[in-house]
Amino acid sequence: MLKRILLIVSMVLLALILLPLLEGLGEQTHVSSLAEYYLSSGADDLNSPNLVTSVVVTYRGLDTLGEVTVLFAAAAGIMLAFKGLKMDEKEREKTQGPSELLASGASLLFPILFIFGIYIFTHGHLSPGGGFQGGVVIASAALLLLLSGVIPGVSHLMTSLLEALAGASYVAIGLLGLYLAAGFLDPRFLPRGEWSGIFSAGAIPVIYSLVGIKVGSELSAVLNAMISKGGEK
Amino acid sequence: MTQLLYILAFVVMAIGLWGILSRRHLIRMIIGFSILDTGIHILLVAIGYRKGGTAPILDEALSKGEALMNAVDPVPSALVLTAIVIGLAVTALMLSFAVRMVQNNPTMNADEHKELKW
Amino acid sequence: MVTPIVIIAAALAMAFLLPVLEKAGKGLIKTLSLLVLAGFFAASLSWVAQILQTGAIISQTAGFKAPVSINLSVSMMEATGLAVIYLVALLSGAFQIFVKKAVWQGKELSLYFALILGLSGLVMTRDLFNLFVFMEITSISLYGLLVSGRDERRFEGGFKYMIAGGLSSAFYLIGVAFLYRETGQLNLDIIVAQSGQANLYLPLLLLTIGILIELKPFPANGWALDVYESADPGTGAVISAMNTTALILVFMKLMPLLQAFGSGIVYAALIIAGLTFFLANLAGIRQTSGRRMLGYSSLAQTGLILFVLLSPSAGLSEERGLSIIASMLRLDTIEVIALALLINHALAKSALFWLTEFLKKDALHKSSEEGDYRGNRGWLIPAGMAVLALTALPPFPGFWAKWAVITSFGAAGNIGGIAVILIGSLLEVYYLFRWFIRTQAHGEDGGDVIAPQVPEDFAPEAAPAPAGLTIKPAWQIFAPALSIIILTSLGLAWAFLSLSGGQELLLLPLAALALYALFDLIALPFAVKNILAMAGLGGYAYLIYGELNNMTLIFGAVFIAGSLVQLFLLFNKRDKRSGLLPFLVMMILSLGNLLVFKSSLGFFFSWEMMTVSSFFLVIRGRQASRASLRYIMFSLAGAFMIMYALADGFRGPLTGLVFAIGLLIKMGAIGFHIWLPGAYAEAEDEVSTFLSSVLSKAGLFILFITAGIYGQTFFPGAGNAFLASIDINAILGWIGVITALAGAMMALFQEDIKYTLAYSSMGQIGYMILAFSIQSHLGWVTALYLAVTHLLFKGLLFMAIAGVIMRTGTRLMYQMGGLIKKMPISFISVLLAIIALSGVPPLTGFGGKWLLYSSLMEKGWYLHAGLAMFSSGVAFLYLFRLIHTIFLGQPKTGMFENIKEAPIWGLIPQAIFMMVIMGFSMFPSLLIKPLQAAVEMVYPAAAEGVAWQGSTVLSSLGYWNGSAVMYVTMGVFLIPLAWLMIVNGRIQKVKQFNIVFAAERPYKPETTHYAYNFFSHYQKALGFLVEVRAERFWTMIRKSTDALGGLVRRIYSGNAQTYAFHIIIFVILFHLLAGGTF
Repeated sequence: MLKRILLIVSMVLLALILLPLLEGLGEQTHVSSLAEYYLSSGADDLNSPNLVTSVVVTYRGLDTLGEVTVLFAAAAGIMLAFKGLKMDEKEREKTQGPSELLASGASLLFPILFIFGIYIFTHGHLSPGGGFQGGVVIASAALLLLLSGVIPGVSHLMTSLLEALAGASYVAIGLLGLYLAAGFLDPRFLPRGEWSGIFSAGAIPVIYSLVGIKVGSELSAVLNAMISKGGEK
Repeated sequence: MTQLLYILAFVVMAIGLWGILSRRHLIRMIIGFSILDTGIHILLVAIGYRKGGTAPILDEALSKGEALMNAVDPVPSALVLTAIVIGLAVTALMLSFAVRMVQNNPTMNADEHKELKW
Repeated sequence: MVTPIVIIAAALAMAFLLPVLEKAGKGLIKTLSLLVLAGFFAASLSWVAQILQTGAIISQTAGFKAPVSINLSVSMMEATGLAVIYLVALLSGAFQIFVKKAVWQGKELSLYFALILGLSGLVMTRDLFNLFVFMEITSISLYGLLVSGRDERRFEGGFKYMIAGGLSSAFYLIGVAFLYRETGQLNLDIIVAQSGQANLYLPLLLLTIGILIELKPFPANGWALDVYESADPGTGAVISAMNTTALILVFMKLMPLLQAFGSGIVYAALIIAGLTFFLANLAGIRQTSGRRMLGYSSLAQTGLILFVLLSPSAGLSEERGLSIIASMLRLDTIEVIALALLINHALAKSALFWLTEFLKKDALHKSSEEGDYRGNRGWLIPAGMAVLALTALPPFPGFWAKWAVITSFGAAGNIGGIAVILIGSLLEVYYLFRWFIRTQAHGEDGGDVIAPQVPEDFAPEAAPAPAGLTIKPAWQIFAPALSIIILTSLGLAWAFLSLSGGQELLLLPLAALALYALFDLIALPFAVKNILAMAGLGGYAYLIYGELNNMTLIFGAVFIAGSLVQLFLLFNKRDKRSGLLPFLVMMILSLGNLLVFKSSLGFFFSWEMMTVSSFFLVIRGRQASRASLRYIMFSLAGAFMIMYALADGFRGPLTGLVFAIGLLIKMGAIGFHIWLPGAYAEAEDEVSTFLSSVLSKAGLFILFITAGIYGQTFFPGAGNAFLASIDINAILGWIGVITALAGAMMALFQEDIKYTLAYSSMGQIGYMILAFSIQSHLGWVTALYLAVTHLLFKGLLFMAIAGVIMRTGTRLMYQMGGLIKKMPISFISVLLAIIALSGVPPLTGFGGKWLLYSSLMEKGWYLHAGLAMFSSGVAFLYLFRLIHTIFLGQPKTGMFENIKEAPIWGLIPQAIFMMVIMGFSMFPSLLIKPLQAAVEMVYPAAAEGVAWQGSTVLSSLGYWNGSAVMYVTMGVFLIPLAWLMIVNGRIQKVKQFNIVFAAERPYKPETTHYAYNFFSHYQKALGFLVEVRAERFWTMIRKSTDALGGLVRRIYSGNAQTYAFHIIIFVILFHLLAGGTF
């Protein structure tokens, strides 16, 4: 009980400390000085209609590269953690098989989801969406298959190969930007293309596609490890 | 409108923090983290919002020239995207550690995972 | 030219590709990894060179300039810091790949590169949100690395780490969000340039807290300890060395921001850092797990570095080496200090973590297994050096940095800062040295056993424990070894810079250590090494002779000539005794350097070198665990006091007093004496003589010269009427006389011959302090006279006794007896020595006593004189016991029948000392003239009505003619001797133990021997005087510190949720410290 009171008191104190942050937070009519640049010159700089994508992939491309790394490291850590874990035979028997409905639904939905995922990451520079979103959709397609038991597991070799190649290509494209254009992750070593065209905005769609492939295969591998509770076999 | 978002963000964060600090169940603690993260994401989005702004994606509705006047700040949107992915990664990793902890000592009660101390 | 961004790209490519390349071959990825890591290190070094020419290296990304895009910047601080990180990364990688082959596969190596990428990014990036991303990369790859290991609890530790990491990143992110809201920017430099625009207190508070939690501040650091304890040692090294270094560089990067917007935050961080340093060390002393203890030490060191960085006055030092390095690297002095502390901690701590990998047991509990490493030099040398480095002893970079910090604080009058650092360091010294000592202790010598004053049985001591287990193959030690070698070279470089310009001589002890260690390594025969040692000492004496005069010449003779003679003793054993000569020569040279230093740093450096080398001599003793721990604790406590006084420049009212206490501790004055008997007695028999007869004079010498240099201002008491009214010399006088009395009394009741001699040394030092405190011409001549003669007779005694112990195999007096016929020369030397010591005519001791009494009478200290006289009487008793129970009486039946005289090499130095004693006895002016001349500079004889005529001194009390006394006494002595010779034939012999065996066998047979508890009647009468009060006092200090440490660590309850709660408390505390309100 005492502990709970202490907890409440400290939470209240913390709230009191942070309260001034809320003061004077009115409606903004202007964007920040940094955003002003992106909004006014971003489209001309990179020829990508989706300015968020410009910021994510190019201006703050290093963040995104880091983000990919975070996901990669987490996936590797999860795989390692599950590696030592073996499900009991008894426990395995107890788990029920998937229902008929799930199995049929999954087989039906999988191609649609898969293609939708690809669509999302290839159009990241044009419309809302991008590599992460696309990758997650693909992984959820894989999850459906795994849960429904349509496939026993995702090939570890395939996911790790895809993941590694996509990641390495991402870095390679970054370096191409460094040597062929003005800086690391500069997408402008590829032609600007037509405004709103699918092959436009330099290397941005390429990067987002790679991210999509990487995230998709990574998350699939993680889900696979969690479901089969064995990681690499 | 925006103030409401800020308040919502803080309330969500507070709920998350309360979950971390008061729930003994490991999984609930982890869910607390997810809620805390969500609060922060709301906060980021709120910070990027401008009155009457629209998504910073140029199309028929938003021409190049109008973007400066009408689009919301794209930076927090980008940040929130990164933050979401990172939050996801941490949550997944936490869950997998929790699974291993429970395997060593089969209880979900955080109070009973105290082999390391002092 | 590799730009910073290329490092990021390369690390990332490695991380992504390694799991796949692993399929092509494990050898491939390991080779590749090492090559890339080496490349990183090389690149960081090339940046250092480049920055010197062109300034900071800036990499823009995405083809746009900051702040539109994220930029990376590497200036000198970052380049050097990265060099440290990459160096540890290379060594750590090599360690994992070659030594722990099974543990790290492709996935782990891939995570390792992700970690290095994260750390590089942390250090390089100028963007605040990007910093967050790299922070997360670092944390997440570390969580992943934690999975590899053996300890089942690692997941629990990792989970707690994630809780803390999650909260810290949440705070950081909220901070960044509001910072962006207020300034519209994420680029650090742009925000700093906008200073003054907005109130950024709360965003910066959250930002700082986010970074600080990762730096493990008190009280939000319980999780870190659990991680250190449960993680694989390799990962522990990574967290402690690499992660901490990067985060401190991040903190340094944020400093301009904090200084521009929130001085309260800087202040709060300063307090927290100081608290962390102090409390982590306090709790550290209670640790039983070696790795958890290293964890506490890591927390403390991180706190120390932050504390120094945030202290406004820490960079004031104008120390020569520091200035040179700062101008060479174009860094501020404070940055150089921080860098030195970072390097020192990173390399030494990672070495220790790696070394724990080889320990069979992690726990510090007393157990026979811990002795395993005694015989293993490959383990002990790096471990010992790492401990020295962490405790900031010379010549490691930590020593120089700490000196710079302490003197800076001294110059700024920041006494509180000095106190925090020195007291905290002393606690750290305690647990690190205890750990080191225990890892190498013999099985039966656990370190907690009180040295047996009265062993249970009659049997000779047990055979030594078997030589330790070795690390096979030996190359496996390469990572800690290399890291220590690099650290040592850096320290030596700084030493050279500091001491160049006139004090290069002070480096000789280190050169000697290296040289004689090399001789050990190539396994030269001991005799050759010893001859080389003598030659070395001779050469050194020649080198410094020109710089000596009067006072320094006298002590030079004591330190160097005295040691040189005693070195002959070492010829008497045939084994190789590696490690003995390096430290012995180092100690003697350090002592010699005390005579020729030219700056206070030079003095302190030599003083610490003397302490270090003598510690390693003491620890060589077979049962010396406890004694060596006490020795290093008291020595360093004294040294820290001296350091404080030097830093303060003798300005403060208490400084002189603190300095004097520092020296008194080193001299083993009453109250601080409890280290002394153990150290002198438990060291090897041949070493004891050096410690007791030579080393013990160091404190006295410094007392003399400081009194000489500072004269009346030595104990100024300025500005404080109360202190000014105290006559510190009166206090010293009482301390001296009580030390003399207590030493003599305690010597009286020892059964162990070496303890008798050790306590006797303590008593003699007491006389010297007493004589010094008289502060007159005669007083000082007396003190010097006693110092020289003590060298002679105590050297003689210890050397003779070393021979006796060697022959009899026991140190207990009642087990000896009747050795006069077997060891006649040793008998004569002991006889001569005790005559000289006890102060009876005709030998030198009488002169000393006569001088002492007359100077005391002149001063008017009659009570002192009486007590001194009484102590001399007591001394006479224990000396009588000594010679009686060892040499007189009958030899023990069946035990010592085949004993021979001590080896010739033991007798030669004794003969030399005997001749010198005889010479000084017959011609006292040989000795007194130089002493008189030395004292003349400070206390002219004429001014006090003292006159010297040849060897005759005329004072108001009378005169003393050494030669005459000698001749008269000789005559008096010869008559009874002749009579004894005549009656010798009529002695009737009785068998020993006749009475005992008549009836029953007593439980403890030795109790019936006349020599056992020889002075029981005196013990009944006077025993209360020698109750172990000091011992009890210091035990109480230790126990209450222990209890306090136990109290502090109770907050680390082990509950992940409590740790989260600590973080909230930390935030509130920090806010309050920063001057915030609710």
